Amino acid sequence: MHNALTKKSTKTSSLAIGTTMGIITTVYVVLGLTTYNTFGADLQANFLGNYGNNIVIDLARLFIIISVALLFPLTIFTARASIMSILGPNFLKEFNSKRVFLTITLLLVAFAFVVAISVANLNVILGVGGALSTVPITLVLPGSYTASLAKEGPAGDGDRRKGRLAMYSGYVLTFLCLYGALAMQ
Amino acid sequence: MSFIYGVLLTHSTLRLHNDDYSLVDHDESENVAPHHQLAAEAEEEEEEVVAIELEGSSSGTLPSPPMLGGSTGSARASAIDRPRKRQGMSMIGGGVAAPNLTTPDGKSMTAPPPRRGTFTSSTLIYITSCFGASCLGMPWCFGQCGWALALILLFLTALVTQWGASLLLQCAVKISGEPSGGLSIKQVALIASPRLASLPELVVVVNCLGSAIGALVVSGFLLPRTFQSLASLQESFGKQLLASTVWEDLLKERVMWISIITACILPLCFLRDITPLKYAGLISLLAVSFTTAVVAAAYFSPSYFDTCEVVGRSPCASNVVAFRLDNVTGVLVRTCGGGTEMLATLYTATTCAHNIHPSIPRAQQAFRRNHRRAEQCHAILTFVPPFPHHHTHRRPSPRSFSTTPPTTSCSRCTMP
Repeated sequence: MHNALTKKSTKTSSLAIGTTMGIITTVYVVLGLTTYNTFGADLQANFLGNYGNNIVIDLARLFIIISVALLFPLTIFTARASIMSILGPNFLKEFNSKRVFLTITLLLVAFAFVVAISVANLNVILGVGGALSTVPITLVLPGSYTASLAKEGPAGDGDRRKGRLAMYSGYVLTFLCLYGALAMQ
Repeated sequence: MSFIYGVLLTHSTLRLHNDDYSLVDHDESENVAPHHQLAAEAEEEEEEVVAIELEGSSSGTLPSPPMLGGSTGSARASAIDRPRKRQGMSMIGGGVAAPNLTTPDGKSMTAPPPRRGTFTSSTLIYITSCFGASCLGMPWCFGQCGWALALILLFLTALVTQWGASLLLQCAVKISGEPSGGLSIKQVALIASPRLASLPELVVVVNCLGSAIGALVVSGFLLPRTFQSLASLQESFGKQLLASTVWEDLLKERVMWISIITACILPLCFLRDITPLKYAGLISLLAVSFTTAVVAAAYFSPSYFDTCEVVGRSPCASNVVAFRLDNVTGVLVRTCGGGTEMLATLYTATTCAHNIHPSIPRAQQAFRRNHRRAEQCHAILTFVPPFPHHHTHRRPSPRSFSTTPPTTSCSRCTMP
């Protein structure tokens, strides 16, 4: 994103991230506190399900549906780009890259569709997704890289310890979250 | 609390962001560029002229090599060389051979796309990535653990995420030798654990699939309710929306709605250039802002929204507590699924960013870095200036790099 700026400026990037984080933090906390104080422990996995029939709520639901529907192609796009990157240029050269593109897209959409109709609980999806992707990104991968790159000898002991701590705590969190998500179903 | 949380997340992301530190480097030279770039017109970049002034063979002013933890010259050189050797790349004569891939219309797949990003577009893309299905599930966490514990856990996950981000940054600094890091996580992975170098990309695939499935599940959950609600509103006006109960029953099925939504958005999934979707961020921001305002309004005027009627009791909120510890697993699930996802989606945002506003391929940056280091390594290893004559070297243009293997040979010196 920084590289895409017309005028590369740390100030602009900082302002963009700061604004984003300010907005999403406010929204998350406001949503959490107001819905909790409205419905208490009866909150559903999708809080919009708690509300009854009201034209304003329906409008909000429609807005959200349009929003997540537009996000779908973006996520498929990124997933496909990652898969094609994993496959590598040689694979794409060997097979018809256009055919590979279509096949990957169809497989991704089909997989998402099948899982979506099989699992109705949003929290299971978010929990499994969080356990298998967010925790590894946050803890396991940084920890393992830090431990791997630590210098030999006493000088690198601190880094190695830090890395292993992050890695193992990531493994524990992954297991707990995965267990919790699957147990909920 | 929210301010601190925001500041913490911002701090950690800024550190990564300022260092061009993205989760997946789709534009690396050995990879195929994302297909959106096929349509992107290559921006003409002026060839960078590097003038290296040498006043003598022994007292020449060499380009200063990057600092690597205060190591000595030879150690520094080997430290620079080692990672590249691991990747099977040659430092001297540098660069990596990019595959000569072109689109059917003859455009280079790795040609640099134009820079079109602005503050507004950057903010919108970040927001698009941060607001997703997790936004709808976050309140459930508050219901599971109480408002105070939920805020504390959000804060803790922010801390953990920030710690992980700083570890990644340290790795990048260690490898690149540059104080600003300057490597992507994939480059770090290539060096730190070459056998599992594709793992970050795999994680991104899982993350994206989770978001995609979540989008369909949310649509399948909300659409029947919205439809029923609208149908009941119609009936309240004395009109029958659906004459047939068969249709009515069918349209209550979430599978039916998920199929309809998937069919509607399927054509968009085949887009090679998703620039038309750049306003998704704006729609997402409007949707979430509107929903937040509605939810806040429902809290302050429950009678208008009939919230108590829905719940069936008054006051409608039950068991509103600050701390609830009887559902630790659920708390963990949502905390990790939603809390840390906020920053993780920012990582993903950096991969999504160039989808909408294509960035300069990192391959070119890597090449420039390699090229510069090749010169430096040559100088350090051979103890002679790399360019014995006073002349100007012209680096290959980014375009020539992206389409053909780079050459750094010089007709006036012995540099390979």
